[in-house]
Amino acid sequence: MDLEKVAGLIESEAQFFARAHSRWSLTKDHQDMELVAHAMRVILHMGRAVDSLPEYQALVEVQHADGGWGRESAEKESAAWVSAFCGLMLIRANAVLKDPEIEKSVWKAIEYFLNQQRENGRWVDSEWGDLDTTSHPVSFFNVVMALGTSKMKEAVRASWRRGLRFILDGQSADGGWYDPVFQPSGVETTAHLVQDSVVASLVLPDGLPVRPACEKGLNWILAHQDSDGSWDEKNEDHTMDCTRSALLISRMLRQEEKARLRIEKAMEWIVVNKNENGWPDFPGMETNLERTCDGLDLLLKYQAWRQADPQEVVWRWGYVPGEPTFLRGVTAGV
Amino acid sequence: MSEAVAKLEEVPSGISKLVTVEGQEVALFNVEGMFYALGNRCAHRSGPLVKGKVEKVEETLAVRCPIHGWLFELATGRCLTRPSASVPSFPVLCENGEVRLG
Repeated sequence: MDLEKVAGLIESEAQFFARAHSRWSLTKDHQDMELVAHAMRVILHMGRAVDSLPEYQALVEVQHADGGWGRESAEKESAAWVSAFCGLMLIRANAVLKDPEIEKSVWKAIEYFLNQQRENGRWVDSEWGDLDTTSHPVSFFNVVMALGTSKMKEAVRASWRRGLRFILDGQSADGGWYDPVFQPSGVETTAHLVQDSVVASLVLPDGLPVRPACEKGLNWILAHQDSDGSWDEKNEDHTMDCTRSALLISRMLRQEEKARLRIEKAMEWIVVNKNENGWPDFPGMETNLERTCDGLDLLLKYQAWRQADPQEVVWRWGYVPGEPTFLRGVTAGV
Repeated sequence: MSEAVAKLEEVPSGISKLVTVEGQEVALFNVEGMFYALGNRCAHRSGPLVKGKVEKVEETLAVRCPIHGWLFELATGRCLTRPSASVPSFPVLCENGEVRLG
């Protein structure tokens, strides 16, 4: 896909995202926390974390005493899936913000997940399957292992490995991950798990051997793409999930030639099937702001994937130990 | 008072259709000649149920949300995945070649 076209789309979608500020910002109102976390990821990947410190401070403000977050900012009960997403956004942003209150909040989130883990390594959330739920704290802990302090790493290491083992044990012989209750088709679950939890161990010290699992997962994802470039019968959410997964896994396995044409076809489909502003759940439907955050995130990751530095896209998941450098790719303001 | 929302031939067996009633999105399903109507937005993350697949879960007909897989009983709107959740369900009447809700 033409990179100038991608840059233009990022610019216009970033402006739309900025105009929708009151609908996702905790500085304006109570919000749906999953949407907030999606928005925080967009801010991070646009290189606007420093300018958006109040957004991250507001996220800290609504953290519960147990270290988790509710599904809604005003909800009192913590939920694992969204808590991991929030913790992840804070530790990644704080790699550049260096804010002591955010660091305290990250520590509280770590304690929450250490306390909530079940004996067999999984985490549980009544609104999500156990595999998908577990992939989120593992993803958070992946980034703790990459960007956290040495004390943080020491605290999470055993828990992180047990969570990852639960995920690896759940992979089917064909390479997919299936959830009989929530996702029997396996598309979204496989796309989430391989990028959010499994693949990071290729670059993190003390990870488990995951290369065969990643290869099988990537092959499974590519094999399940529909002929028009989408996944799951024109499902925009699942197509974005699978495309992001293919970007990261193919790069980290150095198997991009296998995935390149399919990624390009998926990107074309995603661009053709967007609305004038934002993305819908399915082509022809009205814009969904969460899906729009996903779409913008995907464009930013695709743009990074096309850069000469092979690590550039990996930064977008936070898996590369050390200081993040993606802030140099600054785009439209929020 | 019922409201006509579609012509019968617009919703053949095996097809679902999105209709709007008093500003509310409703997903209309025809399963082998039996019509069901549910609020279109999933109780989880507002996924469009009209795009979901109809499944038989232990003799219960249900639609699976296409986004994150929650199941809703077609006859009642009761959520089978998380029993405390539900979506609205609407009585459906077919007469004079029309599908009517209410």
